[in-house]
Amino acid sequence: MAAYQPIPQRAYYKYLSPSIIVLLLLTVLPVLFTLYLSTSSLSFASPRPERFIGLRNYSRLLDDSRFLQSIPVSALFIVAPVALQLVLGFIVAVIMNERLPGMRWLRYVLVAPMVIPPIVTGLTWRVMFTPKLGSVNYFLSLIGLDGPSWLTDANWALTAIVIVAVWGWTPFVALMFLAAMQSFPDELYEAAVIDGATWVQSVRHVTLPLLKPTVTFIGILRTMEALGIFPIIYIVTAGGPAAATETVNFYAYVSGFSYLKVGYASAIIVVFFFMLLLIIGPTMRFLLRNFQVDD
Amino acid sequence: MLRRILALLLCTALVIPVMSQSDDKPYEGTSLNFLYLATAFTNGLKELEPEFEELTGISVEFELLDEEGSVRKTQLELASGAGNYDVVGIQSGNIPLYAENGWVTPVETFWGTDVSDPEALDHGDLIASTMNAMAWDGVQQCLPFFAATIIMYYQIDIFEAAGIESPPTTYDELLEIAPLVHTDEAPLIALRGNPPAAHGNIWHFNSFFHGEGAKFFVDFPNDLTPTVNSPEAIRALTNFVTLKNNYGPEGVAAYQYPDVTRAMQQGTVVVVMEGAPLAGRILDPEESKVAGNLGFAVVPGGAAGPKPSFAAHGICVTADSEHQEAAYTFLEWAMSFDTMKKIALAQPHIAVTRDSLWEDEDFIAKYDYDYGGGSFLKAFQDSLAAAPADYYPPFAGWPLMGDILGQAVQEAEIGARTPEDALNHANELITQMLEDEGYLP
Repeated sequence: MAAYQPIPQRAYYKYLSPSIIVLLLLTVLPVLFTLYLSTSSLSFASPRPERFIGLRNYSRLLDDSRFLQSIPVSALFIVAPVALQLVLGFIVAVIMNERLPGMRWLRYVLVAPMVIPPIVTGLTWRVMFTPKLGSVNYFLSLIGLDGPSWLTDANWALTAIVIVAVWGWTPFVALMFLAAMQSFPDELYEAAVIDGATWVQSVRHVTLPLLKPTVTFIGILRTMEALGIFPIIYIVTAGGPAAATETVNFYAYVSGFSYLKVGYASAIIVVFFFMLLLIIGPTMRFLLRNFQVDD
Repeated sequence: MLRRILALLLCTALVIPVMSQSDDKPYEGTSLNFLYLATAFTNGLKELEPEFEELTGISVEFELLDEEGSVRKTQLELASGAGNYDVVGIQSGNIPLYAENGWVTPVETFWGTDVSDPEALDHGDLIASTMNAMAWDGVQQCLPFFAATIIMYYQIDIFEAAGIESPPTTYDELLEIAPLVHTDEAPLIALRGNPPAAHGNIWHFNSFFHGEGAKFFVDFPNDLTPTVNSPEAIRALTNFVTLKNNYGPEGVAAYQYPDVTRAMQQGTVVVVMEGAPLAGRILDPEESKVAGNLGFAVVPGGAAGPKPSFAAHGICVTADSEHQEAAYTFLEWAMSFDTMKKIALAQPHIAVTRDSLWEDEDFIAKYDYDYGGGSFLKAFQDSLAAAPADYYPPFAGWPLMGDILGQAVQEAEIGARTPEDALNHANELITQMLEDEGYLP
């Protein structure tokens, strides 16, 4: 048998080069082109020809109240749903891990929100939130609560989006947590019981520490997904009322595709890109620190 | 010898397709791509496509989308210049945008050429206002297939029970009768609420705006200084907000047209001012609880009289199409009297654009609903006649301007600003936008 010959370092680059080239074409070039467009006046709604305007699109963003309003909305739609998904997902997973009757069926049911297309989810919730016609306020009335006007009050419209996002992705988080929990050794729980730990103490001192890497990973995954929230807003509130539920990327879409201000929309996207870097950079560092594999 | 036989076969293979293109089918074998909104008319065209293919040898692939999606995709495709679509649909408000950017080939360029058949098209029979809506700078860009306006639908029995003898003709009259018919279970009125300019709250609000005699600009198109905060405009928005907030269903500020249509179908509102072409849906006996109990009238007006909404939908040959003549041949066939009549009778396509079809016996027999509250077709025709041609100001900046105005209307509706504040703010934003886009110095 021939002796093992290590592949020379240069060969790795040769083998990887086709995929690197495709990746560059599909990611770096569009980013560069967007950067170029963000410095142009390109607008199909304008009689003026396209011209280079430097950083004027960016300086306008600083005075654009609609853009400035979209930043905290984006932050809210990242922080609130992800935090709620992690907490609720953990609670559901702990309950499902208890081998109670019917848990198998509950798992099947939990998959449903994940496989329903966001458009269908949005349309269904939109009808459910409609006062008089929808079921949300009907169920609230059964417990004596007077349901709000979900889609025409700015605060309730924001809440509505958070509810839909939490409904859609909590099952995924719960199933991921459940899968992790089922890999934990039973001996640790048996030892906790021998030491006199209650069920709550077992969860607090055994399950939670073991689950930490999964929480971190799922948290980052959901954060990155949440940054791209769009179809739910598009269908449920269309960014309204009065632009109250517009995120940065939704406003970029409106500017580019409704108003046809391509240069301005590109500047919004570039700013959004740097905002993503600000969020993803530290979280990736955190992820790598937690998942560092020793050589 | 073998080479000669092969050469002969090859020549024959090359010649056969050419020979098969007979004089009456000069574009046989051409395949066209069509992109637009799924409407009764475009659905009908799709169903009749085999007839067109048999007639001309040209096949057509249809891509029919929802309203928002079709507009966005069309604009993206045309702006990219990819030439993927030969025929696209258009709303009249977008004519300036498409024409100024050179995205469509004006249909006039085909007139008088071999490809055109003036008798088949008979463009003099197409409703003049819809033809004008499809023209830009005096040049016919596209051909109209759909004449949209709004009418007032009202529940006859509720009006009769309240002692109302005839439908209101002014906003003041509408506000007077409101307390007589409005209840929590069946509020007076539903109107669209969400802002997208082309088909949202502006579709309704502009009727109030024009109805009070308000103007968008100092002197369009010479002086585009905006005047959307004039006293007439503020009165229009005050009426609009008062009606919806005091006499509309809860959550009406977020209503889209399916919500309005559904509310009328279910009889949960007494009055809607909605698209006349939606009558087929509102009166669909399988879905409607009010079929047989609706009256039809021109919408009320203000100081300037009734000004119902107006928009036309049309079809155009794209400038980047590689099959210009074949695409125009399709347009002529699609717009012919025979095709339009077939579709009107087979589909719920009421908003036809041929004068002669409005007088056609079969058409009248199918669509002249009258349940004791007036003729539907008369209300439709009277509304078309009263609708202002400049319902949406014809310039490429309107989508953005309309959206700013739509946001202001919704802000006033949800109480974020008073009508006056909302319109003052909108006027500032529109001024800024017009300066940025080069319409104002």
